[in-house]
Amino acid sequence: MEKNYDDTFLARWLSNGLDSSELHEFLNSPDFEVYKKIASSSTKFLAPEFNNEAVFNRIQDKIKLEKKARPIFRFTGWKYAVAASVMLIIGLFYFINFSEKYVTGIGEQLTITLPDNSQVILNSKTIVSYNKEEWNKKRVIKLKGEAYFKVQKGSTFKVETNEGIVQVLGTKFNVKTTKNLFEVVCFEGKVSAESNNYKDVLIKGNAFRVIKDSLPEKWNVLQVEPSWKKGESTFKSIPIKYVIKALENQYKISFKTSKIDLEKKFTGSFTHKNLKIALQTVFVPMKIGVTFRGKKTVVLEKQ
Amino acid sequence: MEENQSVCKPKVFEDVYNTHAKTLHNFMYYKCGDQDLAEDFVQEAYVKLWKNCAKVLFEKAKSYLFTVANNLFLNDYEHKKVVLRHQQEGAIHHTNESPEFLLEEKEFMIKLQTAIADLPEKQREVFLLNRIDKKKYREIGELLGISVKAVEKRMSLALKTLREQIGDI
Repeated sequence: MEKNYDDTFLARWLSNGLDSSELHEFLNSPDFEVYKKIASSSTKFLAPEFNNEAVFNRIQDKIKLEKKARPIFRFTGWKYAVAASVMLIIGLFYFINFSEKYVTGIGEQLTITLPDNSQVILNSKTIVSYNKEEWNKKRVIKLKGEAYFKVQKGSTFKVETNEGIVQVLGTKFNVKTTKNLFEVVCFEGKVSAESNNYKDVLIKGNAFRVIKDSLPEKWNVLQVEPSWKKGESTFKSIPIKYVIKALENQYKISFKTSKIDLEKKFTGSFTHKNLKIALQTVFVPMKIGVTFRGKKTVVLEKQ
Repeated sequence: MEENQSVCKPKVFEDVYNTHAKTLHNFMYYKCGDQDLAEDFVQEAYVKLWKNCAKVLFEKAKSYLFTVANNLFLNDYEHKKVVLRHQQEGAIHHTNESPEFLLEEKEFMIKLQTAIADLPEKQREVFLLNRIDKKKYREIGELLGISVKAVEKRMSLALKTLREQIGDI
């Protein structure tokens, strides 16, 4: 019964791969009939039914639960070129844009010297920026927050803020902006301040303030420098909400103010060095109760 | 076939499913003899294909599926005997054969089925993919990632083993 077929012989027979002499020999062998029957009968079997749709639906259900993988962005030649160009352009802008920017955080102060030796002292939570390259042509500086300027004599020096503009020739002055508030104090020389179509010229000792939707105010100060430079914030009949904002800029705290009248005016100052004392000096005279909720949150309440 | 076919496209994914799922299922069944398990393997393999659709080229999807399913099978399975159904021959063969012949035939099929179930897994999957799913040796080689020669050897061995099991008729 056993014949020495090579190890692919039977497979080749099934796929009609035998040559005629091999086939002839095989046809006459006693095994042939059995193999033939096995080969033909085995094709009559069936695998169990495959639930094509059911399995597909299960796959879909499962896929929906999984996060969908995103196709890779296939880079071809021109896409590389575009990507490289974009990087190059971004890089160029990085070098061409000579804008200088300074930022202070809560409770920080920073003194910067401009190219013409003018000085800017930033109070806390303040951003200033200016264009270094064009400084000699036009002295323009952008301000958000509060800063004290000591401007060297020269061409017009301009401070741009969201709330208004200050223009000077050479002088010392303080500009303070928060949302809807614009306040300028002149300590030396002469400045022109403009906000919301209100314009005024300030001389030494003048202070000017515009709060949105109300008339501008003007008063005199006796100091020769802004008090915040010496670690104190000073206010003159200003709505308490701006004092609260200043406190938040100076100390890492936040206030819950829903129970007090935010428009009530405050005159006075607070220190930058001691939170407890600062809170007392502001809120005791205003008859506002102070309660700490946790370390960083202060609830204000009318007494 | 388009060059940029991405398996991530639901339509393409569905096509890949309809083209290969049945063969994959049968293949896995010939291996493990458990229909539920075979379906699970198919499901897992396709979910995995979907998850990695960005990494698997369309042309490689088929071999990816078979490789994944095969690995899943190696990881966890319990052998069950492969049970194959008979083809329903129904009305085509009018019974002009004698009852004895039919009985013999039935006995032969049972014998053959048992012998197939007893084949080593590697011989069985090749044999059944060829006999039932009518896959050419070359295709089987692609699915399993082996050479045509290797497929032929397994096929021949399977036939020889079956013939020995069944004996003379």
